[in-house]
Amino acid sequence: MLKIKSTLALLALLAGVAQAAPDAKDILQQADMARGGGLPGLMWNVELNARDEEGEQKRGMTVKADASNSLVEFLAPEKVKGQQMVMLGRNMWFVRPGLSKPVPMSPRQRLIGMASNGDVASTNYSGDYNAKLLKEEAINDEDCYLLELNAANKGVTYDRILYWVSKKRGVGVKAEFYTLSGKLFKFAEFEYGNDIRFEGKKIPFVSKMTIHDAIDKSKVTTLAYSTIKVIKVDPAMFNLNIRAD
Amino acid sequence: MLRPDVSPIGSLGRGGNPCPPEPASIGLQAGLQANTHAPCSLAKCRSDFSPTTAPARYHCVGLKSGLRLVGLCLSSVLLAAPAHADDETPWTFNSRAQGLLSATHIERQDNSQLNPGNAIAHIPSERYDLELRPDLEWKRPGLSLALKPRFGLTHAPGSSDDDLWLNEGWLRWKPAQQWYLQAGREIWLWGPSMFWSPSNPFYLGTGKNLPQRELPGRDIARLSWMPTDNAALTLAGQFGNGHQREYEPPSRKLALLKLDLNNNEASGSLIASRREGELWRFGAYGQWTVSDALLLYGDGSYGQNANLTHVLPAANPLGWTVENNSQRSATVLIGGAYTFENGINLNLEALHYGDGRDDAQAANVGEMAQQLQAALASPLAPYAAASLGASITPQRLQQRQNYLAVQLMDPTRERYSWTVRYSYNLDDHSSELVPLGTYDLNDRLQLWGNLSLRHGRNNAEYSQLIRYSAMLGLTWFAW
Repeated sequence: MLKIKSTLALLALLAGVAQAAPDAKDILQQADMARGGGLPGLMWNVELNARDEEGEQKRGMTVKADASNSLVEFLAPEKVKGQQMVMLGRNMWFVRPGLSKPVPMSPRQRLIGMASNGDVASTNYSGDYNAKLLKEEAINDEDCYLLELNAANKGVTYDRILYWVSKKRGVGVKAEFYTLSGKLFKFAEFEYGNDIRFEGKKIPFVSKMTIHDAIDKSKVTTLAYSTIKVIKVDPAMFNLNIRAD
Repeated sequence: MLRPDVSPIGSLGRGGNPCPPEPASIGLQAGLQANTHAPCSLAKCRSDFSPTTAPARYHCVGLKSGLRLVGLCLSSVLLAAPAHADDETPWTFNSRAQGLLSATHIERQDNSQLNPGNAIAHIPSERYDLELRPDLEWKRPGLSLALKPRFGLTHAPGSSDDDLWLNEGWLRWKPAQQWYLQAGREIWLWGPSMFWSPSNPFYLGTGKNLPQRELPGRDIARLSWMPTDNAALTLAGQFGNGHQREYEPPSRKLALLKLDLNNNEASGSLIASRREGELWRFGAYGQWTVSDALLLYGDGSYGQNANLTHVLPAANPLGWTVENNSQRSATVLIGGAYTFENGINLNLEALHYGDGRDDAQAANVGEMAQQLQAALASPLAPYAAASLGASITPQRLQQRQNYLAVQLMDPTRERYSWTVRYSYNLDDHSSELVPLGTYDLNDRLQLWGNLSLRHGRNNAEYSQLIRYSAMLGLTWFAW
């Protein structure tokens, strides 16, 4: 009886320890998967809608991605049809069909509206940032871990991110993006109406990302993700000289 | 067929065939050189070009070579298709089409010694172009076929021209895991630089001064092997120049070996190539993402360009001779790009071009041009004209050796974009300022304009033929 009691006590203690200090990187890796990160091959469509002082802007895109590389092809409107963005690790290029050679891009270059290039591609926060669990906090009545992500190297888009990850669902529900000077410049909310099957498991997948400008509340960019497919990605797809797909 | 690389001075100077060059070839040669610096020139727009006969010949050439390529691609599809017979994935078809309309005005250099009275380069003062560009692509896993036929109408004072050609058309096939085959006509550009790409043996320029103009595709077959995600080796051969709508110096067949390497923050290539009749040429380029805002890059080559000629004083009636280049030389470009917080992008590049003329060679060209002015009114006029034309042929990346270039670009706006490019010749202190802009009237119509403003002495590189040019155009994104 004493043995059972002490075993139960030990288990409770271990569970308590585990509950008290979940690993921030594990939380982040799981949240990344719901945004395409760390998965071997995926394809999805993105409808981007940006509203700012220039009016409303729209883009239709197809994204093919593996664990750390992405190929974004623009489908609409007609003026950008056929343009591509290739992200090979942190190397990025913009390709216009036929007209000129691929243009190398820095991660800081924005795609459109408040969306960065990384927002449409697969998310690999666990590779790009050092994560620290700050506390637990509820977002829209949902219990979340609040992670502080600091850039692991100089090549990433954001210097610091505060990221709320749902305790129950393991997905990122809100993010705040900060500049090097510590200024909040945009924040985003995420919805997960899609799901995919990976290694027999059902994984929720992002369906909508809404990005708000931190200062000008009228500036809003939404990205709607649809038609998620697990595909076989040929690594040559990201080689600018081969471009196999 | 006209032979624009005829070098009458050379033959005369060396005591060879004393026949004068075909006058048309002189004009063509020189006229098209001007076009490499002018946004709008076209070989067939020369004022002495006959629109009634010659275009038909060009059509034949363009169509025949294009149809040959289409035939080659289609037969390759038939050969490759059985390998994918068990693959039930259907073919997908994608297409897009654009129409471009443009008008160009060129203000020639009045007192050019290399193009006196526009008698050598025949640069039109005005030009109007219409071009239709459908892109067709069929795909299935491991196999794709693309065809990009083009139709163009050009009008300049005294001449008109229409043309139908295949600018790109290729077949991509993955015959086995890690192996990739591509054959056909393609625009194969590489490297991170904005102004020059010396490691690329297929093209002299990057096409960035005139982003609306398509470069001509080259006829290339290549086989790539990608053993890992971070490396690929490509063996390629160029078997044709593609359809040359604008004059380019003829180039011989070329074999090339290219090794692509990349890691998470950097990428680059090593290239070895050999053109028929030339020595091996070695090239390399690379880029490094230093931070989220800063890129550093380089591009260079070492080799021989046998098409280059040097002007030398000689004991012949003209007083000058031309010698082919036998030297190997190095060309190095270093550059960087910085993206500001507001999204505006700045590129800085410095170039040392080993094949460019040094001070003595440039002085020879200047002296020759001065002395030949009198010969242009003598029986030696065809030789004098050919000599002047030869000195401005587009065989070189640039004419001199040392350059600085800056580009500022705002890609952040939805309805409009602007880019300013500035190139400065450190040797003769001439320069070119190129502002480019686009404005979207709606999702299907884009208005655009380019200026080229030249500054320098009348015998300096950027200002020797043209003072400025302006181009205004409209692009219709049909589907």
